[in-house]
Amino acid sequence: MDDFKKDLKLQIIEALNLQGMNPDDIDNTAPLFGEGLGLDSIDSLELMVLLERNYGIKIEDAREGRKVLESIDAMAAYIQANRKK
Amino acid sequence: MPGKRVFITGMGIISAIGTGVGETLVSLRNNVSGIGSIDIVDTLLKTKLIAGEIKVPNDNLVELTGVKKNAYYTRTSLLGIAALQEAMQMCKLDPSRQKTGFINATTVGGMSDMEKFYFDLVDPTTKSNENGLADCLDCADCTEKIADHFNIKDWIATISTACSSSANAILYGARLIKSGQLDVAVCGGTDALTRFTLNGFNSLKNIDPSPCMPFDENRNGLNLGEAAAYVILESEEQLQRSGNKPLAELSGYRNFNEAFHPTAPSPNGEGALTAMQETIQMAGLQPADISYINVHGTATLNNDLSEGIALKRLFGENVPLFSSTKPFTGHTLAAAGAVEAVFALLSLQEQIIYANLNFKSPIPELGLYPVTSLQTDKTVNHVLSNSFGFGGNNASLLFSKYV
Amino acid sequence: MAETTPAFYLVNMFNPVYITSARAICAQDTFSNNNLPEETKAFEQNILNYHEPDYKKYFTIMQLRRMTRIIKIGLVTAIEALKDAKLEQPQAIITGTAKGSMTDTEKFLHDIVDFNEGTLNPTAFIQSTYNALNGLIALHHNANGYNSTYVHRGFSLENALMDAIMLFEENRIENALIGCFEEMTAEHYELKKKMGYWKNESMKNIDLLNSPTTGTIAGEGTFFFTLNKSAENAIAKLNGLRMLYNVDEALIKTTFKSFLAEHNLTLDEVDTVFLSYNGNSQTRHFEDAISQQLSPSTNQLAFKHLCGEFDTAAGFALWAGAKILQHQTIHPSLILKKGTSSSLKNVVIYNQYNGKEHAFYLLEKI
Repeated sequence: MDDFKKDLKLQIIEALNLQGMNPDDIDNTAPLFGEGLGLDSIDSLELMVLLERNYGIKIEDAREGRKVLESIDAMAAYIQANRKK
Repeated sequence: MPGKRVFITGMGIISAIGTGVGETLVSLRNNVSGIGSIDIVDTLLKTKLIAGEIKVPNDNLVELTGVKKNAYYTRTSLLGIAALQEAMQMCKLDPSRQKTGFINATTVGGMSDMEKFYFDLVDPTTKSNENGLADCLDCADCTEKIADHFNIKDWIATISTACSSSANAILYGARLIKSGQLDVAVCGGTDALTRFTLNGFNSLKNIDPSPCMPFDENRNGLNLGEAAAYVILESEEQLQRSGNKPLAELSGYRNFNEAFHPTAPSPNGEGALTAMQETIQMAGLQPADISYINVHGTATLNNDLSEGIALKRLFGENVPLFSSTKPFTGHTLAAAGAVEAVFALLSLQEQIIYANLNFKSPIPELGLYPVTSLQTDKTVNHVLSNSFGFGGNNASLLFSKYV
Repeated sequence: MAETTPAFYLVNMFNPVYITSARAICAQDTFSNNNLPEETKAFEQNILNYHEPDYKKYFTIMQLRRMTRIIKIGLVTAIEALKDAKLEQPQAIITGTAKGSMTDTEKFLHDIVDFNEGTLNPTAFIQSTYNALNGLIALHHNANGYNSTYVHRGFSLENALMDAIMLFEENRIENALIGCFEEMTAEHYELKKKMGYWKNESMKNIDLLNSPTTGTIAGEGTFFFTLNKSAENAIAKLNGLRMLYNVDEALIKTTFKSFLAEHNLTLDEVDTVFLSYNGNSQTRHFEDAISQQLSPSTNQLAFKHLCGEFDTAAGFALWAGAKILQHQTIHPSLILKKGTSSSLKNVVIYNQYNGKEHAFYLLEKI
C-alpha cells in the first residue's frame, strides 16, 4: 500500500505539474485541498482526469469527487476499491 | 458620472430563439426555449449534451447577410453581420459622416470554422489556405469582417473578458462617446458554438445535460448557446443630427474585478455586489428604483449562489423582480451581455418581464424566487443586467426608459 | 484619396498620462537591466524567440503548476513593472493581446482530438481565454478594480491605453497597469506561413530593414507599463495616441501632420521617430510615407529587426521610447538614420500591423 501511495503521489505531481516536489512532501493524511497541500477546484478536476485515465474510474459529480480526493489515504482507498484498470 | 448622456437607438439579435427582434420577442413572450439538440456543430458531445444552437446553417447565413464570396466568413462573422444588419436598419446612420466606432466582443473568434480545418492548416505538408481561412482564428478577424461590411472605420476594438465581454464592449463604447472620441458606438458581441467551448465547459464539469435551471436548488450547470447581438449608442448631440429616436438610455454601468479565483466567483458575491451597486449609483438611482434584474444566472452551483448573495446584500428583503434568460438562449458567452441588453430594451419597450424557465424550488441558503411566468402588468422603468465572467470580471449595465 | 483629413477625424485631446515604469521581455535580453543590452543578439533564423528569465525566484511550486510560457512571462513582466513603480495594487489592469496563450489554445485543440472528446484537463481551456493573464495578475496582487482585455491585433495595446486614459479623465483611477503580450508557436508560424506572411528565404535579423522581398520575420514580446495621473517619479509622459484603421498612405501622411499640429509640434521639433519597418516590401510604403517627410534633425529609429513582428510589437517601441526619454540616450542598434537634433524631448511612434491597423503615439520627456 505504501508503494502504491508513493506511486500515486508521483502521478499527482506529474498531472498537476508540481515541479520540484517529492512524494515525501505530501502527507498521506493531510487534506489535499485548502489548508493541506493547497489544491483548488481546478486541481480536483485534473485529479478526476487522472483517476479516469490511469484507473478507469469515472466521477461525474464534482461534489462526489471532492470527497474521494480528500487526502492521499482517501484517494488510495477509493482507487483500490473501484479501479477498473 | 455627470456629463453626456448615452442613448440606444438600434438593436439587432440572432440567437437560438430567433433571427431578429420580432422572432425573439415571440419566443420570450411564449416561454419558448431555444435549447435542444446539437445538429450543426461537429462534436461527439452531441449525444450527451444539449445547447442553444441557431438552426441556420452557414450557407443560409451567407444568403441572409449577402456577404462577398471572395473572402472567408466564419460563422462568428456571419452571425455578427446578421445581427448588426438589423440594428443598422432600425436607425439612420451614416458612418462616413459621423465618428462611428465598432466595439465588438468574442471569446473564441473564428474557432467555429478553424477547428474543422486546423490540423490541415498547421500541417507543413499541406498547401491549402482557401480564402484566407488561416487568418480567421483570432478574435479580430470577425470584428474586421463585420466592420468592413458596414464600412465602420473610425474606431475598432475587440474585447475578450470571457462571459462579460460584450457588457464590457457596451460600456467601453459609452465611455468613448462620453469622452468625445465618438458620436456613434456600435457595441455588442458574437460567439458561435464550437466543439472547443463545448469540450472546455464539459471539462470544467459545469454543463447540465438537461435544460438548465437558474436559481433552482437542483441546478446542475449551464447550457451553452450561440448568438450575436448589437446595440447602437449615440450621444445627445448626435441624436439631434441623426434624428433617431432613442429606444432607451444607458444610464449606468460598472466593471469590477474581484480577484478571487481564476474561474470561481467569491462566495460572498463581492464582485457582483460592487458592480451592481456602483451601476445604480452612477445612474443617480436607489436600489428600490430597479424594476427588473436580468441576472447572469448561468445555473452553475457557484454563480447563482454568489450572485444571489449579492442580490440579498444589496437589496435586503426587497429584491426586485428578477430572472435569468439563459434557459431561453443558453449561455452565449461573449454575446451574452449584448443579448441580454437587447432583452432589457425589449422589456422596457414592451413593459414585460420574462420568465425564469425551469425553476421549481429556491436555493435553500437564499430563499429567492425568480419570476416564473411572463409578467405583463408591471411598470418597467429601469432594468439592471448582469454579466459575470471567468477571472472575476464582473460587469453590470443599467437601461432606463427614455423620457 | 484627397490629402485632406475629414473634419470628424479631429479627435478630442486628452490630458497627458505619466509612465512611471516600463518593462520588457522579448527576443533581446531587455529584462536583466531593463534596457537593451550593450550587444544585441543576432538571429539567423526567421523566428526571434523570447530570451526567458528565471521564473523560480518569482513563484512557488504551487503557483507555477498551471502557468504556461506566456502566462509566466506576462506575470513576471507585470510584477517587475509594479515593483519599479512601487505600486502594490494597481487600480486598473488592462491588457492587450491578439493571440493570448496560443500554447494553451493549441494544447486544448489537440486534447479534444487525442482523447476523443472524453474527459479533458480543463487547465489549457481556462488559460486559453484571453483575459486569463489579466485575472492572474489581479489575483497575484490582490487587485480589485477595473479590468479589461483587448484582443484586436495591432489595436490591442492602443485600446488598452485609451481605456486607461479615459479612466483617468473620468477620475476613476490614479494609477493603472497596462500591458501587452504575444507568443509564437510552431503551429502558428505554420498557419501564417500558409498566408505568405513570412520571408521564404532565411534572413539575418540585422539585414531585415533593407530586404527587397515580401514577408517578415516572427517575434514575440511582452511589455508592461504603469501609468499615473501625476508626474511624480515618472520616466516619460504619453501625450497623444491615435489609431487609424484600413487607410491608405495619403491619409497616414496627413494624419501624421495633423497629429503633430494638435500637439503644437513642427516637423523640425520632432527629435525621434520610431518606424515600424518589418522588411516587408509590400507594406514599407506606409513607413516611407512618414520617413520621407521627416526633417534632417529627426532621429529615425526602427525596432522590428530586434524583436521580430507580432501583433502587439508596438509595445517594444513604447518601452524603448520611454527608455530613451528616461536615460536621454538612443541605443545604437535602434538607429536607422541619425538626425542632427541634439535634444531628446519627444518621441513619436508610428506602427502599422499588416497594413491595416495604424497607430501614432507621442511621448515626451518629463
